[in-house]
Amino acid sequence: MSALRFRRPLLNCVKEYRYVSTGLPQEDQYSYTPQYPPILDISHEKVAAKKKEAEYEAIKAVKTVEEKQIKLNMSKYYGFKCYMLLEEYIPYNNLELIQHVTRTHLIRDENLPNFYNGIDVSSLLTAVKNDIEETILIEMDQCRQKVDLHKVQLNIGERENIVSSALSKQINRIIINSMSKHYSHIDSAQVDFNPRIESLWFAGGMDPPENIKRCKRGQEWRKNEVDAPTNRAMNYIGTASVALRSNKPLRPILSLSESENPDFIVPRFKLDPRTVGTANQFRHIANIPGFWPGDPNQFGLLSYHQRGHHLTRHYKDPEDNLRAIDRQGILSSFAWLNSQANFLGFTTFNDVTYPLLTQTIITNGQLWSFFVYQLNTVLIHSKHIEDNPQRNICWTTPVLKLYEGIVDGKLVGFNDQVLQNLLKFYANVPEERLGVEMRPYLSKEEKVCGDYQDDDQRQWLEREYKHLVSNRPRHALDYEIYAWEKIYKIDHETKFLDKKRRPFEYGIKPWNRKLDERLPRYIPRVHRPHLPRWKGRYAKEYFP
Amino acid sequence: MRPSPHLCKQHLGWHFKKLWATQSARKIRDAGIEQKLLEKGVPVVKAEDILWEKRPLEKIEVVGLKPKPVVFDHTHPNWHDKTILTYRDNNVLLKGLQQAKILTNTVELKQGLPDFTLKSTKKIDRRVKEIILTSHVFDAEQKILPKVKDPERPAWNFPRVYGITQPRVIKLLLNNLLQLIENSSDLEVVKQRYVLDDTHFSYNFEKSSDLIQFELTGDTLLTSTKPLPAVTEEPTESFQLPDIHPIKPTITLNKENIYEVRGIYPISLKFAKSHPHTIFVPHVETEVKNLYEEPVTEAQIFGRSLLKTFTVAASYAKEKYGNDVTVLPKPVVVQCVHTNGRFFHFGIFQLNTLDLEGGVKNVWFQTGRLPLFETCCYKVGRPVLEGYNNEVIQYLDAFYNNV
Repeated sequence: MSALRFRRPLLNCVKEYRYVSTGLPQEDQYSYTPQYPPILDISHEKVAAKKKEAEYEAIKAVKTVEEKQIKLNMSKYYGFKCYMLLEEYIPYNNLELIQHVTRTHLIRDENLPNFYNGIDVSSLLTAVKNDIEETILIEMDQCRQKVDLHKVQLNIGERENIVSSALSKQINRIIINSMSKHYSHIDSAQVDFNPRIESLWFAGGMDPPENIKRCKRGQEWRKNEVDAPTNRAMNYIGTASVALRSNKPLRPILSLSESENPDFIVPRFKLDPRTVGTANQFRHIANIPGFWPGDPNQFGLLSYHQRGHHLTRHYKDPEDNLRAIDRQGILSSFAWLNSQANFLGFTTFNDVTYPLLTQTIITNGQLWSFFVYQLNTVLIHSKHIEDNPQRNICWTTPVLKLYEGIVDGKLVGFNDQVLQNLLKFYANVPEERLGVEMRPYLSKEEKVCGDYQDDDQRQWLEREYKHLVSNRPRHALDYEIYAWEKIYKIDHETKFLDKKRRPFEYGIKPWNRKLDERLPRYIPRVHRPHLPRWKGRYAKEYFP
Repeated sequence: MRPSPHLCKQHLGWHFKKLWATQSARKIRDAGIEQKLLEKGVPVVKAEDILWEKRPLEKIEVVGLKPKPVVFDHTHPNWHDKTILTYRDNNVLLKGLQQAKILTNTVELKQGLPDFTLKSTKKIDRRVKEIILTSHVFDAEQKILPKVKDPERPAWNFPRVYGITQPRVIKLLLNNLLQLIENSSDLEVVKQRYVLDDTHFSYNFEKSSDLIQFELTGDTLLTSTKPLPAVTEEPTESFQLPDIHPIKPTITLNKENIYEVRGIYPISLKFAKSHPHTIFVPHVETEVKNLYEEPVTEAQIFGRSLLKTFTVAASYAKEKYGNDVTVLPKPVVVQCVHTNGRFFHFGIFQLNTLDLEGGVKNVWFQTGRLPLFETCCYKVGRPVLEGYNNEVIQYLDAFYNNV
């Protein structure tokens, strides 16, 4: 036993094989060549990696979407330390970080990818052009707007956002009206206005923060991995002014094998994301593409985004402003697709098995940027940042002007090319993927918690899932070690005569609490009259 | 032994306070020095006059400071001594529809809407159900909802519920239903329509020496290339306005002194699609309130519809025919859809005159409140839509395609 005390990995191995049969050996168990069990590497890294793999497999085996999301959250009662990536706050020099954490190769081109050359929209263009011109004039002229009349104080960006969201809505309406007769996918598409889009994934390959290094330095068996890169939870929060979704996915532009091409270079960002203005927050994992599991229209077609927040950036660097547009396009596309992938049963630990595509537009009515994003992988954490051959690919156009200006109540310099790009996005028909299992990691019978037969289980899962992803503020403050405790009790033992009352004085770490380490709901005595007093006090829980 | 009881026997703070109280009441005794000095011809000056510098303070403009908030009193630039009576989005009238009829000089010729041919909407019913579910259940907004109160135990604090707010439900429902109707309507008709969001209407008039102004937002306004034709040409002089005596018709209108008298029709008439067609009015139950906390009644909701529609029609008529017109050369007709997300209320208003005390009267037709469904929510963990009523979508379709 004394030897085991110093060899923790060995102890772990023993734990795994605790139950050993002691029955008499049988004849057929003998063989001429000895069959040894596989030799396992019991170094700390390997054992930890094996444990992680087992956790990921356990997540993969969970049956429904909601349970998978709860399962992801199981390890942290107080939530994960997230690096917040907000759509409307773009710090200086942020593109490289975003490309790294989304594993995106960016292709800048004057035109949309060749894939769109086969889509003919010339007849559509003539049908909608006049209406769109008129709409722009009406919306731009509509200076007598609610904000002006109510004298609301708005900054320049918010003012632009009001016009741009109204315009995107109008243009979307005109295009849908003229296309719905001929394109069934447009007719049946679901249109969302300002949907809530949230996404969380783990990204690796960045240098560890100082506190992790300090922690590892203090542990003898981890000293050799002090500088090894660590994973970080990246959390995106944003919205689209208009988003269209359908019940079939868009066709991918490249196949999975084509996107393994090493020429698609993804920049490496090795620093801590906080060096480029990313803040931390403790949050539960929430992946929300604007709707709840169970909605039939699960695949995004296209989304319009606002760009008013670019006006309030104060860095005075025109090149960085262009990079900021790319950053917004990449991030919002990736996050929307990632949350959709989560609703299809994939998670940040279980990679997508087929590519997903979306089309993103960033516009203020006059300036338009088009993005086409193909999601090939969501596996960006740990070793996968080195090993994963897949890359996500984003095609983008430069910022284009739909018109030069308005002179005497008429549009000047209308650019048909921009409108054509837009129409091509709409005319890109989604298709069923024949021969592809769309939800390989979900159960055949139960895909969402509503499919369960047990009433109580259904209700519990629905309630807990919504409660978790709402990320509502805690009713009590979290545990913390105060600065004076750190100085006078931990770093310097100056108060050794004091009564020990705080958890850290007993080696307890309250933040290591698991999600299910709590009391279940109490069932009042009146509701269990047929049971003895001490039985059935707590409601059943269904943690995955 | 604890020393504190003994130490606290003499309450030092109390003594200290008493001392200050007596000393502060001390008066400076007049020693007669001033008198003597004056007798000797020595000028006596107050110490403050010499010590305190007399310099007018210069006002310095500091760049970047937040401007002072505007004070809403008689110093306000828009202050008027004459009080105005206003009706805004969140107000309701005490007597509801009856009072609204008196204010707008309107009569109801008959119960219900004028003859409408409702088309079957079997083709789109499945999609309508999808839209209802999407806007009431599947939208992922999680905002803090109004407090839950139980009238039986008003002090009980329920946990706050997070979910889709009512304005968002109404917005999603109306936009998607409108889009669906446009998809299923004739393209020629659709090309004549335009949907305006977040507009503002204002109309003011004088009635028995009261200055009244209706200031309302048109959250969604459907406009068209040509105005709707008159619904009825029946003479209205013989119809009587309702009598709510002894209540004054202007009761529960807001009395304000800070105002701008203005008439606003939000879209310029130079555009072809500027004629009002249908106004969609959201009814957010936590915002639309009585002055004295009673629950809003059905008649008050009907009154709100009438006033909203009147404001749209009247501000348009004023913009089109000028300020001085009384009996309109051609009546203005505007339709109204009033909803709280579940109940729909349809009305049609025909503006014959802007003279609100004359013999010619305006005309109002309306339906009752029609439910779109019975329940739509999660029931035991499953999204459920029960009791769908397709009459509503038929009315909406008929309203949209009315030319």
